Amino acid sequence: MKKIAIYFFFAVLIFQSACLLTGCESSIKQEQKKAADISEEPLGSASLYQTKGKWDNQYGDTISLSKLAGKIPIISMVFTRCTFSCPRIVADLQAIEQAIPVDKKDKVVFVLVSFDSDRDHTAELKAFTKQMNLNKSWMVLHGNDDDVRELSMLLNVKYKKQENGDFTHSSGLTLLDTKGAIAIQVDGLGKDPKDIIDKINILQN
Amino acid sequence: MANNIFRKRAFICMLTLLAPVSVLFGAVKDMVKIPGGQYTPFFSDVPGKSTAIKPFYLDIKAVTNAEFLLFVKANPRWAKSKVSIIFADNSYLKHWKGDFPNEDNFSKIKDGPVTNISWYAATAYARWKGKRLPTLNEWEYVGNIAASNDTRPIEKIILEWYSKPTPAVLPPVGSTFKNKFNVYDMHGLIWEWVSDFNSIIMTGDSRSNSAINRDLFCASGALGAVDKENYAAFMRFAFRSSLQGKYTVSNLGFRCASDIRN
Amino acid sequence: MINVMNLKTAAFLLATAFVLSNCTFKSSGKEDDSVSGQYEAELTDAPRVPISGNYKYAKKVIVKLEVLEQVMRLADGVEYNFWTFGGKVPGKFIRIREGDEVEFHLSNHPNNKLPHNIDLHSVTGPGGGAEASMTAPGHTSQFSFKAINPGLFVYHCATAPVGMHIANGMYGLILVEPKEGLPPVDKEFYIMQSEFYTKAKFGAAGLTSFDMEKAFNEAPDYVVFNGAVGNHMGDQALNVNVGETVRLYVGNAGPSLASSFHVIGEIFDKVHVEGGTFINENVATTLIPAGGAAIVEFKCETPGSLTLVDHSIFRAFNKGALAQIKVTGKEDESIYSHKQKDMVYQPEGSAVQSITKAPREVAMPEKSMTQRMESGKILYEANCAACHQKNGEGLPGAFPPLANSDYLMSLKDKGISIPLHGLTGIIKVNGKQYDGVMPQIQLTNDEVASIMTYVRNNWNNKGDLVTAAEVEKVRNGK
Repeated sequence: MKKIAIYFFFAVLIFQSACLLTGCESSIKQEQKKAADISEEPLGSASLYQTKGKWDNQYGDTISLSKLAGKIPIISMVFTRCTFSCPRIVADLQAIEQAIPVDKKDKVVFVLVSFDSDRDHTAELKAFTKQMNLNKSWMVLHGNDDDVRELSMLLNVKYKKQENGDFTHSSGLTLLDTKGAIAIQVDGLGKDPKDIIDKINILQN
Repeated sequence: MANNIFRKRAFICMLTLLAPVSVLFGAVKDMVKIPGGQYTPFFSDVPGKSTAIKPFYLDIKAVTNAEFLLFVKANPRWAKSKVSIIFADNSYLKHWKGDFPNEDNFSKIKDGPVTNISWYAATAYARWKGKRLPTLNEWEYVGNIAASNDTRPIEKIILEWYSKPTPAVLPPVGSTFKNKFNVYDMHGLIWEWVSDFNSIIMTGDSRSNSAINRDLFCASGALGAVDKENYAAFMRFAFRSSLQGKYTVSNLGFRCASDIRN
Repeated sequence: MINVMNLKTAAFLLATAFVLSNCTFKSSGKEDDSVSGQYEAELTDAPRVPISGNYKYAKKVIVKLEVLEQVMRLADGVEYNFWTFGGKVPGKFIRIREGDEVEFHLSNHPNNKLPHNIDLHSVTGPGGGAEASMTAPGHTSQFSFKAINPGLFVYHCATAPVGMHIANGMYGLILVEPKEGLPPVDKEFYIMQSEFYTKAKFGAAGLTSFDMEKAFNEAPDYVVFNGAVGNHMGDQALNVNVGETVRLYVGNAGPSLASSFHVIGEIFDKVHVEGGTFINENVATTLIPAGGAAIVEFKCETPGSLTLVDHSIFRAFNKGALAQIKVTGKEDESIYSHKQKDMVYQPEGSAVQSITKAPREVAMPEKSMTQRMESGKILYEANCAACHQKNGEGLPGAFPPLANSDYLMSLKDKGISIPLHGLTGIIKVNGKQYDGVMPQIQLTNDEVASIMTYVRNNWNNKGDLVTAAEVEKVRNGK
């Protein structure tokens, strides 16, 4: 029994040393590798749905972005405590919502993704939805820091967390086509929605 | 007889402990522990106010072409011909011959820092290694540490690097200066990705950073640069602000960081 | 009659139709504001200027400019890592027309180290385009602007740190020709003044680089035209023929200094002050601010070398702010004659005047003949030989000879009074008449004694010793 125990520990030690020397990965590293890769979908496509991030919406459901396939999403990034530009972003999106012809509205989804992974959980998102009077065509999402950062890269949004927990961020919105590829991006606030509306119409022809 | 048994058991216990310790050792091989400290961000909503940097591990040297090749071989979706267009632009790994270069056409560059890789590729590599990219503050904090084997101040090292053209083949990692944290090549070799490079809120016109266009950027306070005369740092931040996640640049590479496990 | 009526009506209708269609044609002709057609602009390196497009209506112009960082010559033996628009310093010359819509493509070469953008002073819009054109190495940015104002404008990189990017060579000129076009001239040239701040001193050989501190202190080592010392000197001077009209598009990139631009040997018939619409005339030196430009025009009337300088003159002769235009052709003496005469100039005129202050008299022991001859020769050659020559033969018609001089040797006071008091009026020496002026020479009695001894005993003159005491007697008016 003792012999077996000793042999076992030596075997473990030798195995670890071998790993060290050859640079292969330890068992701990193997575990982390599973959580690693960003993409698993067939590549060569321009679809943002190649990402594997998991998001919680204002109803508490967990979804991945690929759920939006077939829809025409307009995405912007905000945080619920924002008092300056985020209400204006929402207003811009609502203006677009008004301007879309009724027969083209069906597929359009408005997606707001929060920068605030620490504080904007389901309850906050729900309160925000109510406060801004957002209907069923709207999705407000919470994700972890890494997924939020990755999405900001894909949408060309710049943001920085401040000392007080608020965010400095760029404003703008991104329209995706039914496959999840970027159709058009508009920077800034209060821009004429004409280009977006035109694009939405074209995407549905 | 009891003594012997006790000694043997103690000995076995020690071996048991050694095993995971060796694993831990493996996890921080080629990395160095960066002590915590205070760092004054170059761009801040409260200019001059310092922020605390928690201790972390940082790669002693930048990731090499050889190391990145191992990653690509294990994850062929990141090969040159297969990478998604949203994760890397057309110049991805353009200095490699084919997806998996062989020894002949790799030997000159294998120990050099890997470049022409996007932020997504760098992030994926870091995750594959069980690590992450350093944050901008972490990188700048280490980048401001003086050289240990070079008498020139950091700013001088940087400005001299800026004034020289990029060589056709980059020298191997570790060939420039070492700093007092025993980290090599923080300046003078390549630009490096950080996890949150897009947290630089700088407009394209670098002259108007104190007057942020409020329609473009929501800022609770004006983001001003602390030391307008720190030209070297200005350029680093200007470079970062010109990038997008999928960009690849022939003198932009990266190194990894990781948290300290308790 | 009906036929005639019909004919008249028909003619009337035709005429009306013609007139109306003419009017319609005119009103449907393009307004200057709207754009017709597009083309890609031809960009040139200094000193060349693109030929005027000379089109009546605004067009869409595509401009493609590449940023390249590369090592080139700054002066003989001196190299510098320049950052360039288009591969050279200054950057490419862009020529468009008022009202044009420009689609600008800025590319940053993948081998470059740094991000770059562009601020064109002809752009009305944030940063002059800088806000829209920040470009990482290996990428291209595109933006558009309308050339609302005519004029000659500087463009430069505006990436932080802006001063460094400009100091390293990132600038050029863009000309927005007014609607009516600029009057044609025979020759057009592109000249851009700028400074370089280097770690090494001016002229020190080798690869040198940017010196921040010198830049802060606005103390450049080099001030040059078109990016290097001596670019347009000697063989590489710009060539013009007599009678040709010349227009220079002159930019000043700074980064620090204003230029006092002057062409030695020419006067500017016209100066488009600061590159704008106001025209000044008959100007020799014009001020060009840092980050500004001017257009100067002149006609070359006479052959020779014209030298372009910054008239803050140490910049021209000690830092490199020099360029040349070589004008070849027929001389015209009525405009400029070159040197016609070379004469001696005697400042004292016909009155005897002292050349120098009287020296203090010091009592000296009397010298021997040998001593007097020796020192007399030295003193003679220093004080007298200029006129009377070393060989004592003087100059015919001007200065009488001393050698074999009947006049000198006949004088009772041994000629001592001549150097002491001077001599004017007509005299006859060896049969020849001299009517000149010999000035009074301020020398001591001892020195005059030596000279007179030497003169009276040299060149076949047979004389005797002259003592200091004798000189003193003559001086005191014996």
